[in-house]
Amino acid sequence: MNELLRILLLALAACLVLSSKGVKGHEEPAFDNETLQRFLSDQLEARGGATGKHANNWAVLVSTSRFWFNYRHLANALSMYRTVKRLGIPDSQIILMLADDVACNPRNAFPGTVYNNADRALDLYSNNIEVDYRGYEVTVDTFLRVLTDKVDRRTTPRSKRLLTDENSNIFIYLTGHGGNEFLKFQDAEEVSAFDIADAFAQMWETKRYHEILFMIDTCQANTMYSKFYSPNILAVGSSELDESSYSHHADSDVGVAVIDRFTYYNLEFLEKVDKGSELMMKDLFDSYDPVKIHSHAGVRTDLYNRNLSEVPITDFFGNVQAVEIDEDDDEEGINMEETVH
Amino acid sequence: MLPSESTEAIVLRRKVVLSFWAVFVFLGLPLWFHTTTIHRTPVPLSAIETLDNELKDGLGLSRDDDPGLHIAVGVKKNCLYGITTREISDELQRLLRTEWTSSVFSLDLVDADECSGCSMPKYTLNCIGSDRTPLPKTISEGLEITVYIPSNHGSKEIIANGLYDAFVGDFLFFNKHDLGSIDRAMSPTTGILSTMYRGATYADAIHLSFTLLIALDSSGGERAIEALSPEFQTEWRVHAEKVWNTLKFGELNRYVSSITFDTDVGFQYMTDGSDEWARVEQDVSSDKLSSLLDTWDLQPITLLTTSSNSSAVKVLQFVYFLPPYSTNTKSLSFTVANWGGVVMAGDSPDLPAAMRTFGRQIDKLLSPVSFSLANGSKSRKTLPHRHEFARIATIMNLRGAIETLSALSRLVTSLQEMAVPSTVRDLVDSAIKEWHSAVVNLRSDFDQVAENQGLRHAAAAAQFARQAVFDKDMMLNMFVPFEHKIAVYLPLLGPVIVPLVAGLRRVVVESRKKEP
Repeated sequence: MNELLRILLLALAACLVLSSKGVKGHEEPAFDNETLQRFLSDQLEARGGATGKHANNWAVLVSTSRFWFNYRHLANALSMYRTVKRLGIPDSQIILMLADDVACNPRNAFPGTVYNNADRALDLYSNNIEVDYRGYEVTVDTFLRVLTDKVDRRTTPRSKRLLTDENSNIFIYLTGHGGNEFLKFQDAEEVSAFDIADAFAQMWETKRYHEILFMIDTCQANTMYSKFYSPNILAVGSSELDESSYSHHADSDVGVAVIDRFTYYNLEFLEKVDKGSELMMKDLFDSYDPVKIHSHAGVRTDLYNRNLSEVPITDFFGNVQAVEIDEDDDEEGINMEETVH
Repeated sequence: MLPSESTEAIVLRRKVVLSFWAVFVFLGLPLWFHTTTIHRTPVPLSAIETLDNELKDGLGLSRDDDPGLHIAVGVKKNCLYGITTREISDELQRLLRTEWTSSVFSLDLVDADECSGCSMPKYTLNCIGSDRTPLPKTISEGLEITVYIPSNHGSKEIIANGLYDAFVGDFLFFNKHDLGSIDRAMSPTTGILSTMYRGATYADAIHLSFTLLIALDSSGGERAIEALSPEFQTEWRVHAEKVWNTLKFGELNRYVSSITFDTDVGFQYMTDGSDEWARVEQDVSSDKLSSLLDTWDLQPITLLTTSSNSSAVKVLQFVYFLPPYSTNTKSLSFTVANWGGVVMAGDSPDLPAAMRTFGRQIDKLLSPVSFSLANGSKSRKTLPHRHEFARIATIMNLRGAIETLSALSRLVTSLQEMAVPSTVRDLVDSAIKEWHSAVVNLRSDFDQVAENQGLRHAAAAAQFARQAVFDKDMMLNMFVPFEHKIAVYLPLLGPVIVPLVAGLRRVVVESRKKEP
């Protein structure tokens, strides 16, 4: 018995040694807060600083769950999709990733529809929605490739690519089941906070964003943005470590919960916003009430150098069209009267 | 009690155990190591750093007759106020960090009073304290630049701004003889920086898309009927083709390889009827026009890369909008950054006038600078001279290439879990090779540059660099928590390790028993 115990301990030690191979890659960043601030400051200076001027808006909306009982996650994503479209972001600038197994699910008492409220006033799955990645296409690999644009350009249509540049503000919304520094994708795999942080680092280096608003509605959501280290990222999560996020209410006819609390109260606020709104991001974050949400929503601002009370909601949720009305000037410009040769 | 084993059985068991260990050590371990090691092809990081330094040093392109590249400026002590020339230089570089200037313009600031043994700088910066208002900020007379400092208090920002105005306005740009004194011509809000948002990024080919957008409402309307007639459609196409031909044989042709175009007819269904248009007409503002554009679902300009070549294509869209009616005799036009332009017809459609407007909009979208002269007039807006633009565009592409390669270098160094396939190294090597070809062309006669050879090489370098950094196989390995690794390896290796170790231990024990 002693001999067997010794052998088992040896086996365990061997496993520990073997599995520690490569674990160093994701250690905690070896810099303190002051060093981080200096690093960010250098990065921002090198890029001319975030002046709040962006030229276009994009949105990446992902529901990472599948199956009928996760109806609410799909409704969350579709609700956000509807909101950003209403505020001006066109389909060509929205990447929507859903399992899309709910609207036509045999269990759906209202086939072809998705509702986010028990009053069923608004069908989110009406005409004019464009789902870019559906079903089993929604994977961690796909998500990270979309963010970093490391796709096969020969086979990936432009509508499924995030064609952003250094003037693009991106709203990234994730919803599903999560835990401490991980998020489940379709009950088959996970993405960790480190992976998303490294993806954002790649995006920053390759000048794929001006600013990012990262919003996540899962359990222990705030842990997902704890590993970010790239500049110009504003992150908000629905719940802290060891805290769950909850659904808001269920529809007795549909039979499942139809919306989550954090998303519900975000939408309640955003319904007051239109394209000309003067509401600021601080107003949105100030509206979060732990009593209503049943969890403590968190906001991470240390990577973001603008004052939230001066950042319009539409900087992320709406779209910018940099319109310049032409001056009446007949003298200048390319001479259209030149003879055609 | 078990019967004792025969000698042959013991020898056989020993051989079996050692055979299993041999397979485990000489085959299993190398195979496991090979399949779990992240494949990272070495990328020439030092070569990338060398190119970066080369660009910062001006690529060896200093010429006495071409002040737009690398210039030495002697800064007199009265400009320093305790500020170092390095601080002024850094501030100036920050101001110049735009597409069109920082690529081609670098200053070497030396202390004019302490420059012993160094070659005489070409220009001298002198500072004079003044309380006059309004302050003439900068006066350039020959090789002497005088910056007026308010109340004898200098700052790196004031001095750098003075240099910025003087050099960039007076010495650097194309039709310098057409310019008078520059009144904040290069300001971030009205000058060069504003063009960044208009989409003045260079592309090797340009595609113009002209759309006739006809508003349809419930009332129908004679305008819509007339626009739908074959005659009007033909006239529309003829005028669009004329724009294309003018550009194709004009100056624009000198710095892009191809200009293509297409025409289209679209319809805007105004569900609110004429009220929707009335709201826009009553209050013509950027916000209202922006809202109207949203309903058109416009596509932003994006650089297309076709599979047949590595060049980028810039798409510009131009819309001639026929509203259901108009109370204005004149048309209204506006430009949209990173997209194109729109002309909204007045009470009677005028296609030739619309095309002239499109021409102005093309100029605005593609021209790098817009000058306001001190006397209130405007400089003639023209495209830059070919050789100057080619040089600037070449250096701009080289700067883009080195920024991309430097980003790749930083990512490869910091993300050790990222695989680096051999294709990435090949692309980096190609980018570096094209880089050197472009620099060789830049250093040679203007004629060669005028043939855009340097520009082609530089554009190829930038393209190869982008392909390298966005290689689809250069993906980061997923992070696996330590406890997950234990959970995988323990049941996998435990049933193998336990008998192997037990067998080996027994072999060793038996060997020791034999020894006296």
